[in-house]
Amino acid sequence: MKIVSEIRGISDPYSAEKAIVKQTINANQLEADEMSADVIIIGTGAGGGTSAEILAQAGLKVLMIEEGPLKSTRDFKMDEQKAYADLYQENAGRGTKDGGIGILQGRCVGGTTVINWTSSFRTPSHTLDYWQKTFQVKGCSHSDMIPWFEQMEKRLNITPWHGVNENNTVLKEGCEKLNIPWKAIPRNVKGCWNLGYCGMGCPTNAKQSMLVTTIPDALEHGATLLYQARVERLLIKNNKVTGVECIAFDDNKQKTSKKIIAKAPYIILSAGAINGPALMLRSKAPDPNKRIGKRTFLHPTVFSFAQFDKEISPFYGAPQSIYSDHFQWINGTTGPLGYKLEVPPLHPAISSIMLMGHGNSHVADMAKLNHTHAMLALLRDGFDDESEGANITLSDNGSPIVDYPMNDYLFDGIKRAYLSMAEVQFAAGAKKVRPAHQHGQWFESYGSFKKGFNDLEHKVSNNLVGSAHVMGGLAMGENKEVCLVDSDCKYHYLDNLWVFDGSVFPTSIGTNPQLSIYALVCKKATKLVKELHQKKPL
Amino acid sequence: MKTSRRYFFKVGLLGSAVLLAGSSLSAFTRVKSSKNNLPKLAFLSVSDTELLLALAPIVLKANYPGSLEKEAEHRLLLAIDTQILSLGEHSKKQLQQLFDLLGSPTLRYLAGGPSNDWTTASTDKIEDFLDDWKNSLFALKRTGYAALCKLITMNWYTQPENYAQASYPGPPKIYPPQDKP
Repeated sequence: MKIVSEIRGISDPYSAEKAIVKQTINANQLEADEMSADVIIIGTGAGGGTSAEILAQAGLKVLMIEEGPLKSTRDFKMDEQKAYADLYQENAGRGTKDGGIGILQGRCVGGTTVINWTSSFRTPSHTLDYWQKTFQVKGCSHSDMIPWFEQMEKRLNITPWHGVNENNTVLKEGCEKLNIPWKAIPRNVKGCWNLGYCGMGCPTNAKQSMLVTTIPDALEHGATLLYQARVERLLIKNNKVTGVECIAFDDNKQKTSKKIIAKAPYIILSAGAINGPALMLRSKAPDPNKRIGKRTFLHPTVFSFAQFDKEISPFYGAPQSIYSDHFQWINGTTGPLGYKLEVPPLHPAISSIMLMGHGNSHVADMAKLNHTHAMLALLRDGFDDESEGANITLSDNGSPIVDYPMNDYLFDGIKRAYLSMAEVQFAAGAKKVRPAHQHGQWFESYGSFKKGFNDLEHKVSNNLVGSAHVMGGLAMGENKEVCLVDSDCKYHYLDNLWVFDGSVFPTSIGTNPQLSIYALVCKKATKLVKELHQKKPL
Repeated sequence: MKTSRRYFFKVGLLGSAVLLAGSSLSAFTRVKSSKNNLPKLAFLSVSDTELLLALAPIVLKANYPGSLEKEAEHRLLLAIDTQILSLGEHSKKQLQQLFDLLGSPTLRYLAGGPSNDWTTASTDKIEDFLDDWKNSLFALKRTGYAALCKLITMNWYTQPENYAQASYPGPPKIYPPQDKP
């Protein structure tokens, strides 16, 4: 794999002379304190971006409201510190209540699509079948979804990637040695330079995030984008959302005294599975069965490091290009936790956290980063009675708290995942393997790993557990005992509120969720447009 | 050097009680940093900076202060302060309680920290403190340890001058965007 040393000649879709920039408003600089539209979309990630394009193309006057800043190509410097500060929730320091799980989530125009690693998978049919059976979700079978997957794959140029870097090659070679099936990951990129900085905002516009696709298109179709504006509450009267109350944020991410009331007959919530339920709780939205924020899933993810004699340069190249689902459905849909194997990129700051610990051993591990590979196992939560996920509650100032109790069921999956990863890594020729665990040591063979591994205690803050996928909290389905939105994603208890994002997933997906959000939202937003056109006047 | 479970249990229980006390004790006067050689900080108090600067050489060992030399303290504290400011209310409060606990001479000692000030604590004492918390039976201490290490390592290795310590050659160079064809 060729390592690129310089980037030249890239333009910025939001540079000053572009016409669409006139329709983007920094809330902190807005003079008016009222706005109106046909449809308000709260959030501009995978759900909000997809909705905005479809609704604006249908001739509706769309107002997108985004809490984060508008950062674009010229701001993407491939610098971890700047990226985490500009583009991530809580400066990449978001976590669960007891600190057990770290959460990487976007906070910028384009949401997590700006910072994800571009892996784009269709929703597994096991997952869709389970939703239908357990939550009475209608119209979302695998065959119902195929045309929508195809439409969004075409829109975002999603195709399997073949420029595999050394870090991903380890997964491929290990699987081959063990006769475990693996595949190339489809990615949403166009003209990708194979740089490896997807997580810091794409500096070449290759990643087909919402920032460079649906959002500019919505703006060209007359939409308005209000950014640095957090929706504090939905104004609710007689089962209708009459408007939304926003607070402007300054460039240092601090609240200002500036308030804006925006009104529209139709409201779409696309604020993600943590901030969306929190907004519903702050707004005291009707919720007779107390389900808001329940069953929020994270795909808890654990990691295993491997050192090689050869250079891995895990900093460079498409971050994720190979996966194996061998262990994901091996026990069926329910039962013990299944997991997907993938690879994370290893830039210094994030690696320093993943390696855990302190002192000389940490320093030595950091010094060998260029010879280090890491593997991850993404655990599929929400498919068993033992896996209820997180509950979202509010802190005193109304910000979300993600309470995800880590139980024996989860740790059982974690233990099996470490063993699978170590076996694949040794099979690929690793000299040493170490689980990302506070007390994890380097082992020099799979035999010694299996033996020594048994001494490790698995509990909160011993294991490094991360999440880059937030799902659920406002579950979809006709079963009102547990679900809050119907199969069209309309809120059961409000007449003009739809939830178009990953928070409607009644379980986790079992794979990186962006394409699942795009396709579901594309289907539901298209249906909504039809309904609105029949229901005149708007 | 295995410590008996019984010893752990006693120390652990005490530690837990102390941590709980710390959580209802946020009435500390948090003196904002104003030392001449330190940056203007929005969250960290003088006592918090003393703790972090005492831990940094133990956590980062030979990598600290590295090529940043005299700038190391300044850069590290500023980056940590900025990061904490962006955290949600819940995490911010927890960190504040952690810093308050470790800033209070009595509670710090009861929780396994050094009896004297962080600025004069010996390397051995600080190592013992970190190991005690890392190995604790109590999740609060383990999480506290993890949080302190994360804050220090993450904000250290984001500094471009320290990339070499991670055998990272750095990102490609970007030349100014050329919008006109």
